[in-house]
Amino acid sequence: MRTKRVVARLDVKNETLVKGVHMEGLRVLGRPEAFAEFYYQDGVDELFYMDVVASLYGRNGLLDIVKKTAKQIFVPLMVGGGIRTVDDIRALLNSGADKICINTAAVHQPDLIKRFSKIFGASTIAIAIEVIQNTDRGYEVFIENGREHTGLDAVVWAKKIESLGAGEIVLTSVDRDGTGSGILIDLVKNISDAVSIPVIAHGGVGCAEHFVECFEQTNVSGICAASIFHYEAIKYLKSDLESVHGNLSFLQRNETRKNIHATSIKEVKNILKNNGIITR
Amino acid sequence: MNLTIGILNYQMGNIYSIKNAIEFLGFNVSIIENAADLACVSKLIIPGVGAFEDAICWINDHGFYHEILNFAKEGKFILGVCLGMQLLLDYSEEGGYHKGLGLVPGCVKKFPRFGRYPIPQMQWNVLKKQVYHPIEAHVSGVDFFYFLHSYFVECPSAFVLSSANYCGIDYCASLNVGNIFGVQFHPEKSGKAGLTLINNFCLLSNEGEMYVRG
Repeated sequence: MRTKRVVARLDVKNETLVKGVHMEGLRVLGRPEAFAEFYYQDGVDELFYMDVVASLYGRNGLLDIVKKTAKQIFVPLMVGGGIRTVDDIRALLNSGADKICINTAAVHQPDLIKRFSKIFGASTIAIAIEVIQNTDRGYEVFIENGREHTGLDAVVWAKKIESLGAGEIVLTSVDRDGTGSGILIDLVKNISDAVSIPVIAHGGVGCAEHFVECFEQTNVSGICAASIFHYEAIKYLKSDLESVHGNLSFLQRNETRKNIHATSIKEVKNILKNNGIITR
Repeated sequence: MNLTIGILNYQMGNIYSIKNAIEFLGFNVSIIENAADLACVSKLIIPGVGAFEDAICWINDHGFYHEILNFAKEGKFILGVCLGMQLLLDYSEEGGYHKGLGLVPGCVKKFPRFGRYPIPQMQWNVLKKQVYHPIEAHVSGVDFFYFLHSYFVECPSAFVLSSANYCGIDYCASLNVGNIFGVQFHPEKSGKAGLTLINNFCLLSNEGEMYVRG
């Protein structure tokens, strides 16, 4: 029997949960562990912590958050952001992470995929592919959080990742990320049809129907979303604000983003169930 | 009852999640890295994610092979998790042919290609109960557990507690032979249902059925 995974992505800067907003920088939303706990209680299938500044500063500040999370949350935990070495991976696994997600380092040195899979087991190693659509170059792979182009074709790279022994691909449409305008189905179909390892789609989810659409039309194993869940969770977690610093103005103004329909994990799963898609 | 649970640390995968789960439930953990450490515990969990060959080599090289067999013969409880369960069998076809601990008759095989099913199975799945055992008390057929594996166990059906379905096969999801238990899924990653199973294991009475392989 095949089932699908609903994954919540939490972008982390230092000790804070953030959400990147075009032209505005990073909005502070609260403590990552509080959101993680909320999603766990709401039935999330997997959590994905992404350190959004690690690559820039060459530093991985997630260990404490991972440790705190792993003490009370018992669903799979994937972690990404600036991971480069065996020691980086070991430190995260020893803190309670189950899977690590690598992008930039793998593109620079593809053989690392083979090496890490051999040492830690293929299912521990997920490779992130960030894609920008280009009329000349089709689906092109980007690194450094969508800032640097590589000239690599996404499908070619996905097949190479599989051949090097990675356990999973996490595919992001940079164009759609944060827009709430839907997942880029054509891209996701191309990638999930090209490989036989699990693929998680990410980027563009604005409502529960986007989950249905992508699960019905592609072979992905999971879909990852952030904004729709965060803007729902925040209604219940605002009292947590006293412990965080940063750009809090949007929170204080009670805003949301257009195209993003705040939805809970439970609601998404009910809608999936009504459409014959099985999740836990 | 000795409430300290041993977790074998053979450097394969994440022992911290199992440790966290057991401590969350209120039991104590002893990380077992030397064969001598086994004397202090009456329950042993063999975890693991990774390759069969590397795991069994570590176990042999660190003097654990006979110690684990003796542990079993003394009627103490063993729970193998994922790769840890596979190690209990006679042999695995992963990476060739490698002998396991031989505590459970049978072998380990790779999932066959089946339609569009990705391999490894990296998803939640439900258990179809075959035989009741207190280790699966309060766990129902609608509870989902998290699986992460490319190989599955084949053993006599009399030892299968629950099966699950993937790649067109109803494979062994949990097994029991006397005081030996195995779960193919990760109970430490399976939310409340998984914690229930771990709790059940930790509470199994010391008067377990002694297992001696004929």
